[in-house]
Amino acid sequence: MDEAAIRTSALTKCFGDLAAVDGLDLEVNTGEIFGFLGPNGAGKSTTIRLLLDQLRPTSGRALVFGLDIRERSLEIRQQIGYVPGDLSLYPKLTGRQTIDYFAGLRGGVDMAYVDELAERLQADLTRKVGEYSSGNRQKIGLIQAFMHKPALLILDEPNAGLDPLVQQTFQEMLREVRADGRTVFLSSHTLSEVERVADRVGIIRHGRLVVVERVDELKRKAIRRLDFEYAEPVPADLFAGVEGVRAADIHGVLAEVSYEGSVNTVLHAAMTHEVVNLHSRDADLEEIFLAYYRDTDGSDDQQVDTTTIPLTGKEKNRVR
Amino acid sequence: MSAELLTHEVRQRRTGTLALSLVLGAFAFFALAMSGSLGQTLSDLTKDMPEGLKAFVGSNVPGGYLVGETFTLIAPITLVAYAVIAGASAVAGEERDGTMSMLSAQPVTRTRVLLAKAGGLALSLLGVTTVFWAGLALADLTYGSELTAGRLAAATIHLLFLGLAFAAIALAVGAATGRPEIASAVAGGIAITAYLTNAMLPLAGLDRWAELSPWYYALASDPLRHGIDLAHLGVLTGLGAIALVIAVITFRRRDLLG
Repeated sequence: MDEAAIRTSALTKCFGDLAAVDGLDLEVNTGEIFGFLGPNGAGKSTTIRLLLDQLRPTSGRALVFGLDIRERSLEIRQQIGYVPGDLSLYPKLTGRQTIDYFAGLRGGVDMAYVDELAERLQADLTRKVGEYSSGNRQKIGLIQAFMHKPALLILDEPNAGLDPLVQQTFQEMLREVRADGRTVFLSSHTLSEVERVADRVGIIRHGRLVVVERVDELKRKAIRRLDFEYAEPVPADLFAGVEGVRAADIHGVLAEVSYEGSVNTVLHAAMTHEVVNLHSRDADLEEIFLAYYRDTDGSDDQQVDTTTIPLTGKEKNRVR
Repeated sequence: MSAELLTHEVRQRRTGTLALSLVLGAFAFFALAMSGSLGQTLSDLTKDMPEGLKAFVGSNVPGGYLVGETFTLIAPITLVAYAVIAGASAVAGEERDGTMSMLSAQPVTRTRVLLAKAGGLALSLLGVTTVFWAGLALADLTYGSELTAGRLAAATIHLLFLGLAFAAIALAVGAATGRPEIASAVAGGIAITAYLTNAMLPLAGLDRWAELSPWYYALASDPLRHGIDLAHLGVLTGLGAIALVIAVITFRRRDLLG
C-alpha cells in the first residue's frame, strides 16, 4: 500500500462566517505516526470530523486510503479506530458492555485482544461508565479504538486524563501499530505529547496548515541556549551580528544566548572574553512550536499563543 | 449490525418503558375496576349536560366516566408526552450527550442508526400500550364490564398509533436539528395545539377542523364502541411514515452536532 492514508485537498469547512478549516492540504503516509498539532480551536477536531463524515465539507475533498470521504465513508470507517476529543460514553453501561456494543457494530472483534488491551492499560471493565474516573473512561475509548486493529487510528487528544505510566504504555502501543505497518493520526495541542512518538508533525492554526516537518528536523532546527558566566562584565553587543544567534541577553558578567544551527560561531564570539562557567540547555521544541505560530501572521496572535500553548518549565524561567 | 443497534436502543429505553408501563397498567386496572360504582354517580351528575359537553367530559363513553377519561385524556396524553420526549431525544439526545461522535464513527450508516432509533421507540410504545391493555383486560376479567378485551384492544391500538405518530414527529425534528429541546418543544407544541383543535373546535361547531388533528384519528371513531377504524389508523400511519422519511432525509444531509 503506497496509497496515502489521508490526503486532503483544499478541504474547507465554514460555520457561518468562520472558516474552521480553510483550504487544508494534508498528506499522511501509510505506516507513519503523524502528529496533528495546533492550539484549541485551530480546526483539528473539525478536520477529523470531516474525515469521519460527521461534518460535511463546504468545499474541497479528502481521501482516506484513496476512498472519497463523502462517498465511501462506510468502508473508510471500517478501517478506522477513533477516539473523540471530548469522549462521552453511555453512563449506564459497564465498560464491558460498552466494548461489546461497539464490537458488535463492527461485526465482532477478538475478545482475547480486548482483554489484553485492558490489561496493558490497566482498565477496569466491570463497573458502569458513569462511575469511572475520566482516565478510565479514556481507556475504554482507547480499547474501543484499538480492538479491531484498524489500518488507521485517529486519536483526538487521546492523553486526556491518563496518568504518566499509562501514557507510556499508550505510546508503546502506538509504536507497535506503526511497526505493524498501520497508520496513526494523533491530534494534540501540546508538542510534548506527540514528539516522542510522531515521525512527522503538521501544525495547524486558524484552520490552515502552517508547516509539516519531520520531528527530528524540528529538533535540529530547535532554538538552543547557552548561558555564559564571565570573569569580568562584557559589552552588551558581544553577540551582535553573530551568525545563528537569535537573542542575547547580557547583564554584567552573565550572558544568555539563544541560537540555532552551529554552536561554533557562538563559541567563537563568546571566547573573546574569559569564560568562568558555561551552561547549556536542551533544545526546546515548544519554542519552535511557538515560533511557527508567531511567524504566520499579525496582531491577534499574541493572545492565542500565550493562552493556549502550555509553557514548559524552562519557558517560564526564561520569561521571568 | 442493525440488531446490535436495536438491542442497544431497547436496553437504553428499558427503565423508562418499564416505569411508564407499570404506572399506566395499574392506572388502567383501577380505573376499570372502579368505573362500575363511580359510573352511576357520574351519569347522574352529567345527565342534563349538552351532548358536546358530555363528550368533552367523557361520561357518554362505554365503561363510564373513568374509562372514558382514561382513553380520551389520561392514557393518550401520558403516552403522547412520553412519545414526544423519547422521540425528541432518540437521535438528538446522543448529540446532546456527545455519544453521537463515537456512534457515528462506527461502520453503520446514518439511516440504520435512525431506523434503529425508530424501532426502539416503536417497541417501547408497544410495550407500554400492551401493559396498559393488560391492566384493563385483567380488571375486565376480574370485575366484569360492558367492555370486551377486543374493544379495549381496539382503543388501545388507536392510542398506540397516536403515540407512534407523535414519536415520529419528535424524532424527525430531532433528526433534522440535532437539538432535543427544540424537538420536544416543536413536537409538544404540535401535540397540544392538535389536542385543543380536536377537543375544542367541535364545541364551537367547527367539527370539520378537528379532522386536521391527529387526535381526531385516535379518538373520533370511538374505537371503544366500534372497534378499529382502519382508515383512521391509516392516516396516523401515513403521518408517522412521512415524519420518518423527513427524519431520514434531513439526518443524512446535515452536520452532526455531538
